[in-house]
Amino acid sequence: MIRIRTIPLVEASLKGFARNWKSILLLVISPLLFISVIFLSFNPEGLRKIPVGVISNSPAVDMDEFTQITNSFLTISNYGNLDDCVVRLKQYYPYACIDIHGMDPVVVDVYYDNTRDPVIWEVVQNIKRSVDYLQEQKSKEMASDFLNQFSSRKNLVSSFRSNLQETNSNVDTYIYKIDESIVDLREAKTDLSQTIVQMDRDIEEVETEKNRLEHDKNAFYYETTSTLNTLDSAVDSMKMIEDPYYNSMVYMIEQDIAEMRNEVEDYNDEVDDYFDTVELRVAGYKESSNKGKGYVNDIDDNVEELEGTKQDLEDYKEEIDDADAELAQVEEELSEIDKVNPEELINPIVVYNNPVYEPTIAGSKVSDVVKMANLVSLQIMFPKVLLLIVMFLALLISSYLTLQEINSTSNIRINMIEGMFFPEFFSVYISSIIIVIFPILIVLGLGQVLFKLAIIQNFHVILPILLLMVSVFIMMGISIAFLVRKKSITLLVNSFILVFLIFFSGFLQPIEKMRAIFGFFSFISAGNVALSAFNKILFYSQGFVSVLPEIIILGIILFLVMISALLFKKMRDYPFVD
Amino acid sequence: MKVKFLAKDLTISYKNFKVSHVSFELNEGDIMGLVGRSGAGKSTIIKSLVGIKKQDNGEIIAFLDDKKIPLNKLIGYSPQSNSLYPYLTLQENLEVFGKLYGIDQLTIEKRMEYYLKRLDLKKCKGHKIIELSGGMQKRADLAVSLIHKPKIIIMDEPFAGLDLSLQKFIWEFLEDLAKEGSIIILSTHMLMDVQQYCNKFGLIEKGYFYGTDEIKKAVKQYKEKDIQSFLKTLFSKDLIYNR
Repeated sequence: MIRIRTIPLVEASLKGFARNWKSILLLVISPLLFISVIFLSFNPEGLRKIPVGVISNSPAVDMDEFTQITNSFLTISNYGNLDDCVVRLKQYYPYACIDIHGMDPVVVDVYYDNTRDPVIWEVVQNIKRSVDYLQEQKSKEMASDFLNQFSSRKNLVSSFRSNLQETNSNVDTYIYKIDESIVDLREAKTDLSQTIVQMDRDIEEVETEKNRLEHDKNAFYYETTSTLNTLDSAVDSMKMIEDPYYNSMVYMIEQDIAEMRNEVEDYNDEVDDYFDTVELRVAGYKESSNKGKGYVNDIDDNVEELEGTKQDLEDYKEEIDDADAELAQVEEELSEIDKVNPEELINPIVVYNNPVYEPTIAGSKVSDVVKMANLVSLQIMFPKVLLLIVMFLALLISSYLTLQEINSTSNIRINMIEGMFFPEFFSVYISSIIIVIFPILIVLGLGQVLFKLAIIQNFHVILPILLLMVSVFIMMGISIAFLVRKKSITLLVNSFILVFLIFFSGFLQPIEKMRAIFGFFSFISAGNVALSAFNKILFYSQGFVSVLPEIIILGIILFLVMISALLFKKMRDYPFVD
Repeated sequence: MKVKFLAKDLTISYKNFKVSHVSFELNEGDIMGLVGRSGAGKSTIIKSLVGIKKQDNGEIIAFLDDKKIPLNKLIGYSPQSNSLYPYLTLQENLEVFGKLYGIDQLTIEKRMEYYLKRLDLKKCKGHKIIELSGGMQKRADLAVSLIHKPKIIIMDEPFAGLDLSLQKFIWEFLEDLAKEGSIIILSTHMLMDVQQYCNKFGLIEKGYFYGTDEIKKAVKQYKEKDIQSFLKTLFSKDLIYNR
């Protein structure tokens, strides 16, 4: 029922607001214009050039260099002495007087106008950065000789190491070649051994065959000789018979036998000669075989010798590797010295303040560092500006809408309808949210574009915080409007409340500087809690869990403020005595 | 459905003065005219009757078919100045208040057509309230007051700033509503019209409320022709009238 009745009231409220050009102009367009002007007024390049006076009495500092590195953010005027500069400072001309004096060490005294808070702190910081830069340059110069010596040693080591690596590479090549030779020799040995074995087999075959033939030949010779002897005996017996014819026949036979014997002898001699030749050749082959076997043994000896050489080379290579590793170690140690900050060489104890939140920015020049510092200071300022805008818009718009509602001619009619207490209350709240959220989203967009903050990426966490915070301040505005009921007084009270909240939320007066009890209440105030949550989300991209405590506290604050708004409405609603 | 509206001995304070003895009983078809000098307390009584101002003493009761009903369910109120959303059109005003009374869209449209026609406002349907003339605003306010079909219609100075023809138009419209069974209560300075259109009267004089019977008795007592001439004499000659 509440929802059914709230919707037409929200519609009526928004339509009424949208059709009233004065409310649009004053509460939407004007804030947007103011916000745009505020954001455009922020210079992302940082502070404009600030005038400072310099009194330089130290020949150790190159003033031209100092002027050059501070040129982007300081306008330097030279003064003869400190008093003249301070007189001008008190007349609000230079923001600071930089007195540079002394030789060893060079002392830089910065006299600054601390009535120009908080800008002066940024000026002093920038001067310090420039002096630090100069100091670093100076330290570098002092340390450069030392580093140069190291550098030349490092080069020598590098060169030696390079030669060693070349030798190592050559040894590798030799080992490879020896390996190749060993393989070749082993192959040759295998081929030779096989040939010798084959040759020995052939010789053995030839000898066997020769022996067999010789045996056959001797057997044939003895058999033939024996036969011929028998024939000679028979012929001798036949010679006894004296018969011319017969004798002539015997003679012929005797002649034939003698011829045959001669032939057998010749043949026998010839074959013996042949066998002698064969034996001679076999002996030659055997000698070759023996020589081959000798070669095989030689190859084995050579391979053994090569393997020994190879082992020597490998041992040598191991030594080279050890030497190379030692040189690499020396080289690395020399490189480490190269990386050493000159300041650390000069000053044994150096303090570095390292801000954890630092958006990356290209460049390491002083102007780049100053630029980054400016961007960081703008980014740090953004959540506060956002909160101020939320406070301003939520308080004023909700008060305005509440006053419009309760002072509207239609309000009498609405109050006559039963059960309109909550619908009327929530219609003002919802209408306020709808109107306020639009310029707030524009502010977030400006933060994303101009301040380079990760708003879109973290929007899912920003949104609940934003809604809670807007709701808290809307409820405050509603409470004040219901309590006061009169437009002019409400706006006046709102202004006071705004000023109070700005101071009490730690935007201007740091909570750390407050007394304990006030500091505690300020710490749990809606503005400070929301600021803490926004800082977590925008600067360190913390997730939902991290901002849960803030969400819970804002929820409790919202509940309490809402209860008070409802009580004020109940107190001041119709029927009342006018 | 028979409606009855009772005020029993009300005492209502306003700033430095109070109005007491406010008692009357109205039935369906009654039109009661509240008269009195400027600042006498007519609006104070009306605000008390509609429930936006608490009375010090007494009781206001409404019956529908003899059954006691909460006032805000039966009353339609049209204050002295209109009580509409000025930047919304007449149609939007009717729709908003219709929805707030829990009436469905179709019924709202039907009633809107009916009352806009009856009050001759059809042409103004799409105009914002601030763009309408005084007479149109008064009729528009009356139309919105009737969107939930109230049985008791209470109007504070409905004719202020209106020309005679428009006054007549509204009187006739109210007369029709009364004939349809509604109770009409209105405050006015138009004594002649009160005489003509009202059947019940209420006079507020020096912090006291005088009802119909008392007025009629006074008319006889002062030998006046009628209520109108009595009231004229009373207001013009500063007649001292005591119970």
